[in-house]
Amino acid sequence: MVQQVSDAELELMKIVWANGGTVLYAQIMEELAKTDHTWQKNTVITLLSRLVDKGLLKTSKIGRRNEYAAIVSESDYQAAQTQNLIGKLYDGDVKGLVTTLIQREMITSQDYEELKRFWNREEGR
Amino acid sequence: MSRFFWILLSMSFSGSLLILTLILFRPWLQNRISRQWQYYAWLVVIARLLLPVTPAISLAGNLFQWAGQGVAQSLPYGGEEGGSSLIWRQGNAWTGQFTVSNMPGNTKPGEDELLQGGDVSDSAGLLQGGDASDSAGLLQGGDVSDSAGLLQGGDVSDSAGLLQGGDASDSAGLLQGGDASDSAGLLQDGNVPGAGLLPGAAIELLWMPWLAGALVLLVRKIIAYQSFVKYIKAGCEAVAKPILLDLLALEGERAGVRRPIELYGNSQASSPMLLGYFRPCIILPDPELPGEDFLCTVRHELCHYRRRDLLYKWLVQITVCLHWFNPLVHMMGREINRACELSCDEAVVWSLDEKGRRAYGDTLLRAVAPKKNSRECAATVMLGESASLLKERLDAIMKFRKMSRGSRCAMLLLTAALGLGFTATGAYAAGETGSSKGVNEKHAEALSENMPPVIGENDGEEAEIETITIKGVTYCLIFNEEQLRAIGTEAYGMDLNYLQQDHIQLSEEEWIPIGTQDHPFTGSYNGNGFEIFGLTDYLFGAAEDAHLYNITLRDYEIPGLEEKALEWPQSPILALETGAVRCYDNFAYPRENSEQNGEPGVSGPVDLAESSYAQGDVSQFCKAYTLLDRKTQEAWLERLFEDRKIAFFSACLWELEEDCPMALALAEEIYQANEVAFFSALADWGLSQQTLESWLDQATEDKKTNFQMVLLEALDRDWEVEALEAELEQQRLAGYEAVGIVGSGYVYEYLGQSVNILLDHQAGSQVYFLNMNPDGTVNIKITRGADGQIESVDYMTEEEVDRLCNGYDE
Repeated sequence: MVQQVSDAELELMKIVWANGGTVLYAQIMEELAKTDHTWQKNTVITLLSRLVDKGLLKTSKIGRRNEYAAIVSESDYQAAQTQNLIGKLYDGDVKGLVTTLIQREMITSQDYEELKRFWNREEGR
Repeated sequence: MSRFFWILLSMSFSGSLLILTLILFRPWLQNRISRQWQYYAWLVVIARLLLPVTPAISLAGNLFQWAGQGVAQSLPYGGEEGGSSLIWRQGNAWTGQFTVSNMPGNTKPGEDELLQGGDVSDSAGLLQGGDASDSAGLLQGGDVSDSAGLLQGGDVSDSAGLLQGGDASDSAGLLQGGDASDSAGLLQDGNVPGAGLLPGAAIELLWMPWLAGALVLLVRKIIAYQSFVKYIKAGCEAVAKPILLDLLALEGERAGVRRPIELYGNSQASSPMLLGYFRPCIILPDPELPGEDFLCTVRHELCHYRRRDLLYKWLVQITVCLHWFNPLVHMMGREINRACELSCDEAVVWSLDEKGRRAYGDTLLRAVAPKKNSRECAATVMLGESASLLKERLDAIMKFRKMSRGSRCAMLLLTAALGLGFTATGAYAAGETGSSKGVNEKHAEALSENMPPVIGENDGEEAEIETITIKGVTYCLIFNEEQLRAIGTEAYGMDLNYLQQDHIQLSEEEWIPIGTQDHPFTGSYNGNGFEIFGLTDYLFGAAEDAHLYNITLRDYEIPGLEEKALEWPQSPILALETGAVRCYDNFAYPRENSEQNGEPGVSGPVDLAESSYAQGDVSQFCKAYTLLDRKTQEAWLERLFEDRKIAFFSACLWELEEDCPMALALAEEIYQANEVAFFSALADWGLSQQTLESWLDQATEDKKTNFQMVLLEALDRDWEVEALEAELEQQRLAGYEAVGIVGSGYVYEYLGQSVNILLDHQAGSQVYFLNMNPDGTVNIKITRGADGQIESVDYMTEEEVDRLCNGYDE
């Protein structure tokens, strides 16, 4: 069970994932500087240590530098979150989710066709 | 243990004095002196309560020392008098006369009654005597007046835990009999009526409940703290807004806090607080505070963190646990909490203006106002507390002004006074009945009695022994001859283990072997790889069950040893073995020159040189020569040259120092004497290249070709040597032609006849040219003068040929 993370924490996780799963603290600060976030050093450290506590990251020292490595991959995290969403909002009914996506045109018909093909191929195996 | 308890009681007593002083002065100090000072001043008191250090003469020390004497003396003096004199003494102590004579008997009965006063009389129980702290004098006027002793203090019941059952009156059961009037039932029951003074026995009984109380209290506090932390953490939610975290980080930077601080929100918390030392976190009841409030709160908590208030608070808690029986210490705990918040406010407000201060006060008010939740814990740092404290805090914030110079001076004075108080009150650290040794000293003494010294020194009068203990075996260290010779005498027993620590050169003094047949050496001796030089007799005379190893003897010279050595291989080490001796890894090197001579009674090298010279024994002469002193050596060189003994001369040259005055003088002499052979020998050993070159110039100038040759050879100038050789050959052949000899190489003809033997020699010189040609028929001899010119050519006689051939054969 992957724990819930705050938006700020997810932001950091995305940086870690984008860097291939492991990242140095300095790299995180660099990446953050590219975005609009101007978080304080200690803020970032606090957020990272929360992620460590939640079991999403692990930290190891390389010399005097801290390296953070993702324990949970992005796709695993997405799957878990989706599961969570379906469980919470749709009472485990996946159809409900898809229905919502299509009804609200959150998914284009082109996407839908593609998904269908993907689905059939999976079934054919 | 009772001794430790006794010291603790004394510390409790002197601490109490300091606590009282601070509390009494508080109203006056409050707004005059920095809150920070008021907060940290308590540290001195805590030190007094925890550290058993004391000057030689101190209030508590004297008082308690005397109380100890009272224990010893109470019986002879009888009950009433002993008891009352104790109180008299207390009275004096309180009025500040520290130097009362120590004899209880001095007390006059009249004075006793005068000083005892009503209150004291019915509660003169032994605890008052022993502890003195809370009972008589000053305090009796106040709250504690009626209670029997220290243990009855109202505050104790709060915290006693184990000792306090349901309510305060129950707890008295153990420590205090019912009420003051029957005073200390349990403790006084056994006493002689009226005496009331056997603190020693009482202390024996009391330390156990004290220890139990302290432990229970401490454990309870720790458990309470842990469950509180758990309770708070359970309801915590990490503050997710990066903006709040940023605010906190910025404030932290401003306050000088490097470490990242966690920020939690917890609706269960009654007020903002700081938790945890290694992973500090600030917990806010409501993280959605208005910006101004958030900042103030965070500043306050960061200030707590920066000042390590959590540590201070735990220190206070431990002190309270140890002195749980002392109500004043509990009072101190509360005072410190108060001072902590006040000084923290001060530190925050310091940098704020009037408006900021008002905002901070508002925050305080709002923080306390809404909800008052149940659980609070002593060891957390909270922003708000009771209403009275809040009032004081608000008051302090509004009245805040920066310290004037006057108050700064006052602060210094007060600090000095407090320090003085710390030392003057002291602690009881005396021995059983009044010895004045400090605790540490006592401790060291106990240690030295129980433990053998690892490296120690013995106060032996003759020679000092140093020892070292390795794996439980003690070795005596032998550094020098004096110590080596001392083995078997005085402190250096025959049965000890010895370890040599240095090379030892024995003096001329006669060596007496260690151990005799009647009194053999039975210990062990480890030479440790170090050498002993110049032994003149066996190292050990007799040994039994001994252990002799790693010994190295060098240059020993033991007359008559040779024969013995065959019987007993350890001979230079040990003469006589009277019992099993383990002897191994020993080495012995005799003194060489005298040993080779082998003849006892033969003297030194001077005679040896003389005798071997006479015998013509070059190698023996050489050995003797090396042992001679320099002057004799030079004399010999001179003599050998004069005697023209080239073999001896060259053998001795190798010891000659290059270009030494002797070598230079010899060179001159030899050159003048035209002795090329000697010069050649000298050139090889005793002259530097530079000197050789100058001689070469000289020889070239003088046209002494033979010297030139020798010098060139010595200088390794091979090419020039060859050239010179060729030239000399040319000259020689030219010379021969002039006298009728023709030829070259080894074929010569003299007056048309083939030459068999050709001897070319210079008168008075040992250098000659000899050529033999088996095909030849005549033997000729060429004789040259001192200048090298051919003087005559003769046919050799049979006799001459024989002599030459024999000499050649040799």
